[in-house]
Amino acid sequence: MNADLKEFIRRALEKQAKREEIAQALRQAGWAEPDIAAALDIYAEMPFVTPVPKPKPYLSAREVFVYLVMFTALYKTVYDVGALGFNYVTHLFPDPSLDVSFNFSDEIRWRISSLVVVFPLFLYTFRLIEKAIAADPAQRESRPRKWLTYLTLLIATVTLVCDVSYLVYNALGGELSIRIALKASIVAILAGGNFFYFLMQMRQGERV
Amino acid sequence: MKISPSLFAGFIAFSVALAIAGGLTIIDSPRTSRLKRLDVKRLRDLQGLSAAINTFKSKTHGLPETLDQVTREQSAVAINLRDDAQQPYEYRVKDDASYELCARFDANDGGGYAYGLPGGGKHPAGRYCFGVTAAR
Repeated sequence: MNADLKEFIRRALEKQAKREEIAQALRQAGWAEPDIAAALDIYAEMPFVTPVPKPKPYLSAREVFVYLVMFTALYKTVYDVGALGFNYVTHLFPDPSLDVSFNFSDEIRWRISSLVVVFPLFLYTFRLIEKAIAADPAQRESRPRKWLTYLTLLIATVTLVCDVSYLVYNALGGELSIRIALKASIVAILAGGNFFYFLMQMRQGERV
Repeated sequence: MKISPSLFAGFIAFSVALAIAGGLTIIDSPRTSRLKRLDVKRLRDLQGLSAAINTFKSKTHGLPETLDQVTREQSAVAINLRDDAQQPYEYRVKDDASYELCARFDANDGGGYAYGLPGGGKHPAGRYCFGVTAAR
């Protein structure tokens, strides 16, 4: 948060300026709408001799731990689902250019075993976090949450970029088969679903 | 556009259920997996026997008459003469350079690979004999 902007709003509110007037002045000075809204949101809308700051959203170490567990469990869940999808596609449409017959059973057993443990962990921590946000919507704005959500968006974006590159690479190599298309679709659905949800979450947070 | 957390959790749950269901249709049942692992162990035993017979032949310039002869010569290497059910592996000399090694398998090709056995050790379920030509 820009210190000058914060100071300007504090002084304006002290001089009994209305919030709409302050916003109008800042707009004319060229400040962006989200910056104006965020800066005005620092002070509570209540009558008092001086502007009263709102409490900053704060996550305790315990909550950061829950976030880290939730995101790690989510990444592992999505990765295992994708890997199982890939194995299923390879099982249905074996690659005739590979002469080594690969036994998937062991890997599939590992992935299923991992999902049986890690998915309930994701669901449990996800629900814990959603309950905490429902009880205190200010948590939506907390920094660790934003950082981890943007990190998830970054991972999803990189995955989607690699996915499209994988399609182009295979198309150039004359391998644009149903097998490649299905694998690329699995990645697109999983990474795209996550990207879309967390992007919407961030936008919702900015509107709050 | 707003996506509720429940909808997102549902999307993940659905993909997990689909992935597990798909995976379960590919893998063997726990019982078959166990039987196949035992088959792989039998195949490893036969591979060990075949290697020991080769070593015996290179030392003595002849095939052993019985597997006991091999174990006496190869005391440094652990050689299993019986499978998990304590059934002895069968050994039969065919001529100067070739012999048969037989075992009983529970499943049709358990996924194991054995060097030195024909076809890498591919076998049907039941009693099966591998015709092996000893290394010169």
